[in-house]
Amino acid sequence: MDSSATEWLDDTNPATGEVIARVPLSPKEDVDAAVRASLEAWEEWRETPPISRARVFFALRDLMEQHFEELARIVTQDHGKIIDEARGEVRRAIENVEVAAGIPSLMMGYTLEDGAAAGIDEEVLYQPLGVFAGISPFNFPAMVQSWFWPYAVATGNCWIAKPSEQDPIVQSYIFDLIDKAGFPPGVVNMVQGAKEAVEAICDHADIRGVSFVGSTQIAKLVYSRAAAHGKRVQCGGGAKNLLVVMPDAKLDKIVPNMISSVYGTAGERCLAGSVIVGIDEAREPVSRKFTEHASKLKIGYGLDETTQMGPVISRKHQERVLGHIDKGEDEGATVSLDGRGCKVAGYPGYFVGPTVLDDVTPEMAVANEEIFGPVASVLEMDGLDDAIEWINRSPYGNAASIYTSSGKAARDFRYRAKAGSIGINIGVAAAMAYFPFGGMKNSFFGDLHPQGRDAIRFFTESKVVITRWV
Amino acid sequence: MESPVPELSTFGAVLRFALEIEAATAAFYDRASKELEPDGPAALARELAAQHANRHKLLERTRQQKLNEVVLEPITGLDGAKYVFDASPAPRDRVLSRAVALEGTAERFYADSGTVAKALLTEASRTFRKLAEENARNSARLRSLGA
Repeated sequence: MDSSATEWLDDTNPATGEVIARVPLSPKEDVDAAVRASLEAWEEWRETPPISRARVFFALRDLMEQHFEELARIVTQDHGKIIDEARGEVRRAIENVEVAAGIPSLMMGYTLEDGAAAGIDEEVLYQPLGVFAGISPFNFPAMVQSWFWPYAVATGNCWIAKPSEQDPIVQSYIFDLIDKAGFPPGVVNMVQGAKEAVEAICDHADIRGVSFVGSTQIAKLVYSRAAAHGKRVQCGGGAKNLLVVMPDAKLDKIVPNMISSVYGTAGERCLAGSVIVGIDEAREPVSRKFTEHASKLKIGYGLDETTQMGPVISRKHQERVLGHIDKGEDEGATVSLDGRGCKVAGYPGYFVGPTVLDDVTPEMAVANEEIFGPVASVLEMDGLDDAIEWINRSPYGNAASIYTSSGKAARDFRYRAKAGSIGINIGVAAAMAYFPFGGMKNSFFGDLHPQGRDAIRFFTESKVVITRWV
Repeated sequence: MESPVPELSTFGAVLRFALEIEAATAAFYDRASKELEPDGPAALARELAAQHANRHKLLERTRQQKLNEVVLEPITGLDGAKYVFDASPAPRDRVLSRAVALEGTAERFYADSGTVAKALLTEASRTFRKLAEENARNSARLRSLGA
């Protein structure tokens, strides 16, 4: 059914600045309608055997493969990321569908004969709860919904998606494929919009759980509001991820990986490296080589295969990122590579060039606040212990990476660093679909993470049955 | 007519060029198969046209399925000028030599790309290495026909 919205937002291509769609701002009534549709569909869907549910996911997987290139191109046009990154994102979305298709194995409970006493058996079953909703951010418009909904629906729940109002087109396209795959009406639903739709989801009595990814500020609000209404909640928030470079790191091999971590998706990634910490004598060479590589990146429209970094999502976000660079300079950082004033011929969109802020100190805002743009802050620390302590003091705990040739240093880092995703010579430690997507402290609110086995547990209730035949 | 110099700065750009060279080579052999002597070179040209069309499909699958954002790094170290190719129709007496040149360019490109991709994507690297080896075998077969 169509939205009953009376207000609409313009959705622009961030590279060209052109309006490419108009997005309805769904009111509370749209959420109510989606919940009603879900509730009507739920009984029959939960009684559909897991293997039959899995077959619909296999059909969707095939459709997504057939439409792979279109999906990736839509992501690039609506979000701005380069086409390779868009392909990687769509790939991960498909992986989640593939993993969810294994639901007959993933959802199995377990039994213990004589588990309660002699002649009394005990077993556990996993059962769906009803209707769940997912609110996803602009930075991965195809992927983040797939961290949640395939698991929710494969386990026998119904789903209401609320994609970002800034780049919702690819989800609309995926929903067409969902329809074609054969999901029954009402099982997977979508509402558009912003604050009113989010609040309606948090408050609705018939929505049993909410999955969310966005800024820490909004994640906290959604977590507390939805939990106050008795819901299960999992909320991913912001990040400030360190890339720690040890003196024994092989710079020629790792710098391209660091570049990808910091500037991939124009830095609009919750796993993006944001602070480069050179340990002792590593600082000078890593700063020099990183800046040299960054200065050569080709900025442009993501549909040009040779482009290495695209624009940020919007004019407003561009101004915010530029403001952070100004602030860093005001605080005393050296702008050794300046992305302010970046222009791309023929594309009047929202570009910020790769930026390196050097001589950053731990108390500066740019070393602590999430920028969510193509900006690296470089600083020096005395020894790995100092870097780990800093990571552990940070209010964020999404990801942290170490670059080293030392197994001992890597092991210490993995053991002690308080972050949900650890990279060892990897700057984007993005969990595959069959692993949970981590996050700690102010980067994640909740108990069970998206993807993998955590997702199966989040979307099911465990029920114990104790049986005695007399 | 020579192809433009490719800019090989991303995984996608490398794959796009690979797809271009395979499509052009398949079309070249397809045309050649209609012009060469039916019993000898034409049969080989038909076989190689089909082979390069299959390689095109393999590379499309590689682009779609082997990309992983964990190791999606900018590409450096591939000089596009080394891989400019000419797949335009050749006079009958020069078809085989042009085919050898095409196979040689592709072999060089895949061997170099395989080395670069090794640090990024082992699976893609393996595919590139096998394609380079196949190009070398094709060149040897073409030479045995007098190219």
